[in-house]
Amino acid sequence: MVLVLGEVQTTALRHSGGIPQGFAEAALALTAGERVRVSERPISYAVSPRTYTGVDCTIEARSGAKVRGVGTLMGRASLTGGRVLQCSVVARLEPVPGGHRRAWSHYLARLGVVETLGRTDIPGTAAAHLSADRSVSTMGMGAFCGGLVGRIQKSPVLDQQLPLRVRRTVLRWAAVVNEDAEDPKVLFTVREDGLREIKLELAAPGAIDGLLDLFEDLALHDWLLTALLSVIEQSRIGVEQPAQSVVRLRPAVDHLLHLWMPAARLDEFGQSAWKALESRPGLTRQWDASVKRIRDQMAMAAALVDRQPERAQLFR
Amino acid sequence: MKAHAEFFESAADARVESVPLANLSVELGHFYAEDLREDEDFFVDHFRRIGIWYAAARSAYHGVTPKGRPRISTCLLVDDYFDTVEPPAVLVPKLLTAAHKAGLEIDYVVRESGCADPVPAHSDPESTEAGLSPAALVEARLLDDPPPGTTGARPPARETGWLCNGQRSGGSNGTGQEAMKRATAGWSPPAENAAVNHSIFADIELWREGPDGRLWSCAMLATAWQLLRLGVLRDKGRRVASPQPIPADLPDNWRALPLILRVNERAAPFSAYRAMTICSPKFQPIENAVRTIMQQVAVDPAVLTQITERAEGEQLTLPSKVIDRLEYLFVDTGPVRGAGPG
Amino acid sequence: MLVFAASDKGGTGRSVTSCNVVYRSALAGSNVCYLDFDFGSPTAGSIFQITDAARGVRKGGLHSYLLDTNVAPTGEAKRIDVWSRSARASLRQRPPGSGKLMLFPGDEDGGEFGPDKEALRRCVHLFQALDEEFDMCLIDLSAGRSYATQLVLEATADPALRGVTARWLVFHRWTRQHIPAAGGLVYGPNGILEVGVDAGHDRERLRAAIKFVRTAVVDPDSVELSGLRPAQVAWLRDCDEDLRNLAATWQVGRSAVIGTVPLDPVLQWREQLISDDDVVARDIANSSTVEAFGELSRRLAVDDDWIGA
Ligand SMILES: Nc1ncnc2c1ncn2[C@@H]1O[C@H](COP(=O)(O)OP(=O)(O)OP(=O)(O)O)[C@@H](O)[C@H]1O
Ligand SMILES: [Mg+2]
Repeated sequence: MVLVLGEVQTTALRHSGGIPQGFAEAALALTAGERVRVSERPISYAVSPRTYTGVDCTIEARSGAKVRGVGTLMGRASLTGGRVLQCSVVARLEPVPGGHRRAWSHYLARLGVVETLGRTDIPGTAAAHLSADRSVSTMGMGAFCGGLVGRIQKSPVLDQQLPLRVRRTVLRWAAVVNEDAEDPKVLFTVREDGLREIKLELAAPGAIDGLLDLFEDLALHDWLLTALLSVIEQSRIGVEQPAQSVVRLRPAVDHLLHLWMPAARLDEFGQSAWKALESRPGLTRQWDASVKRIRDQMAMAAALVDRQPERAQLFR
Repeated sequence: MKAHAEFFESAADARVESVPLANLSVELGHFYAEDLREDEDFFVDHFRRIGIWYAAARSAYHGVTPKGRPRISTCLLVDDYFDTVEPPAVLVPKLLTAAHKAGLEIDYVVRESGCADPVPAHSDPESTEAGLSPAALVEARLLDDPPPGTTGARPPARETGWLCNGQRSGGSNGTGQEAMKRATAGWSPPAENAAVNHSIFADIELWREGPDGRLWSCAMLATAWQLLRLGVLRDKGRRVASPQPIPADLPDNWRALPLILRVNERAAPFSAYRAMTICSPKFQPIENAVRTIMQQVAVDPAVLTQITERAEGEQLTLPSKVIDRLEYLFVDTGPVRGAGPG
Repeated sequence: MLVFAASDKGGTGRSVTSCNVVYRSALAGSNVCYLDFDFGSPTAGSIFQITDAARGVRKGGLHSYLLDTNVAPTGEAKRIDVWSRSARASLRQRPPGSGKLMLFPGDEDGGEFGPDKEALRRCVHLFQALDEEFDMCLIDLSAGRSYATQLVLEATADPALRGVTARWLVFHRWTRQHIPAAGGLVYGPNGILEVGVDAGHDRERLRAAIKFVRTAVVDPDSVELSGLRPAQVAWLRDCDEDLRNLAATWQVGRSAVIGTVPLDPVLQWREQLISDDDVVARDIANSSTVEAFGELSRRLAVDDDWIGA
């Protein structure tokens, strides 16, 4: 059994408008001498080179059992639609016999792997990673991820104007690779506090990029929905005049609505995983309903627009 | 689970340019800048002594290369970064003739300053974009050896321009001293991360800001040099500094020359699966520093995979760690006069 | 927007006023949070009436978020949703249209500490992330020239926080001792300006971002004092005049003031939030107090009130 752990953090880029491609490349250039990869279809997308950090720390399983882990975490950042920033961190845990740490060059020849020195409770480690709240993270993966977000957000090419205020969401995932597993199983759980967890069980994974793409795509759409719901909440529909609510809904129309494109960039495996998830949490269903709610509010405000007081508010 | 390489590589990563590779690159000695002013006899003596060991290296590789004759190239690094040396028009012929008289052939001459200069993107003549210097490429790929207790939340404490292999003495690593709480007393020794019982702690200066900008350390430039020889540096996927033929008229200024000068037309490729340096034991401290840095360079995995696969195609097995592809022969190379930086 | 609440002396009403201001902002629909950076004595939990965090939390508060060397608490700082966790029933009914109201508590066994690079790094990250989420983050600092104050001055000078508005409220009581103390904290040696400039701030810009709040002020003309004898009122007027002159010499005069909170009977007895209910239905607190909190919360967000000094 092999365990791959990861986390995705998602937030709005600190920039007022859509960002030109050259800027996106500058902001995502995490490693000098490495390319930022960009694509324009079906949606503008840029992904940073990989970056790494070394760890030598205790890893705790759910039972409290501890093991020492030495190796590197791999991170990357991506930008979708020039608007949504995501940072990912991932590590593959590999138990090795013997309790001694090797020379550092050994770990650099296998970037992205953390070797656990001794007996390792794999399911228990996955459980601990997934069940932790936002104040704790395995091997400081969350902080590493947040550090990447912070590093990109402070890039001098960004104008630092936030189009909308939403809490960063955190998606923690664990992929347990078990040769005996039959069909891949995905379990998506929405927890409070903007925390999501995904447990994936499969016999043989594709390349890591396929997994990262899947989890980032899920996190992206989950964030879009979260952001949309929060904009709707803050628009005070029913508390304010319709025209006033519509003004408050504007960030959603300007920055979110056009980004919904589930599984657009995913391979076959990713698409089937999405399909499985759609039936239960039903992200798209809720998204569609929310979009309809916004459109209805806009239609109503438009119908009322001939009435002077609303008009004045709308075109202030 | 798929093999490690397959899991972490993807088609997109495969877009790294490949570099022609010899089986072995042999560096035919080091010189202090002062030594380069010596006359031809000095160099003939030097190359004679090196030649004995060079022959040994060649025959060793004949034994372990499964397919035919091993491709072996030779090279020399000229220190024009820290000191002014004789102009290429004088020094290069002097070195070549001396080597020839001693029965050796030098294939490539490399200027050390080239490791600090931005390298133009040769392979893409359209591109106007100046690349990074080899030293800057190495710096970008440094991944610090983490002391125990390091997590993604607490990255190793970096001292600007320095790199070490453990924890510095004093120990606090920047941790807050809380007011109203007793400070833990006294000196704490430095510690090597991968120590076996006792520590051998090394703290290496990488660069220093000077009046004319950044001054790279000799150790950092030499690391870039060794990694160039191993063919593992890339700038945005492009190979860095392909060797250029020696111009008919050598300029007076080293910096007018390309980084890697091919002085022998029939030479095997400059970069190689493995690199050997034959030099005086006096240079051992420098090589130690180089190895401390190299222990912490995270070479692009896509490049490593590419090289490993090519080696397998030739039925060669390569050590997975890049640092293990370096070999040294510390031997008496005759009187070394200078004492300046290598 | 980041708002830093500072005072030279302890017990000025910095925490109580700040909590109430944040509460008013949330009621008005802003998403706000309160960060307890008073590491020595975190009290915000008790003002918001969070039962198990009255004197900070046992684990994972801001102090340990910034300083813990342990491996485990390596995630985000702990937060408490005041709307759902307050023991006060009237708070738990979050009014429709109100914004988020979040408390980031301190630790029970915190304590002051010295300069620390790692804490600075984490502090910058914290502010950056919270600014993405909240319209206003109010940071309650330890009294006096504390390390907390130095830390946030250094953090706000970091390039990561360029583009994030930062404003300072310096609280003081309306007394002969408090006025010079407040002026000294801002303009004096090792004061906010001096430390801020050392940290990389522009002196004039920083100065324009610092305003004073007078707390527990007795207004000689107020109705509450209508029972006083004429001689007493006259004496109070003289004192007030005297204090005003003193304030002017210490550069904490009218133009530098952003709010004045009257002495309130409820607050004199208890550190708490004043709800509209306390004023209207129960009639125990003064409406002028609530108005002062509301006014302060509004003016914090009015850019014109923060141009020049
Ligand atoms: N406007 C007011 N009227 C009357 N009493 C007040 C007023 N504001 C605050 N107080 C009272 O003053 C005391 C000190 O207030 P508070 O704890 O907010 O001060 P502080 O400056 O935060 O103190 P510390 O430095 O100890 O943190 C409290 O008992 C509080 O209820
Ligand atoms: Mg207080």
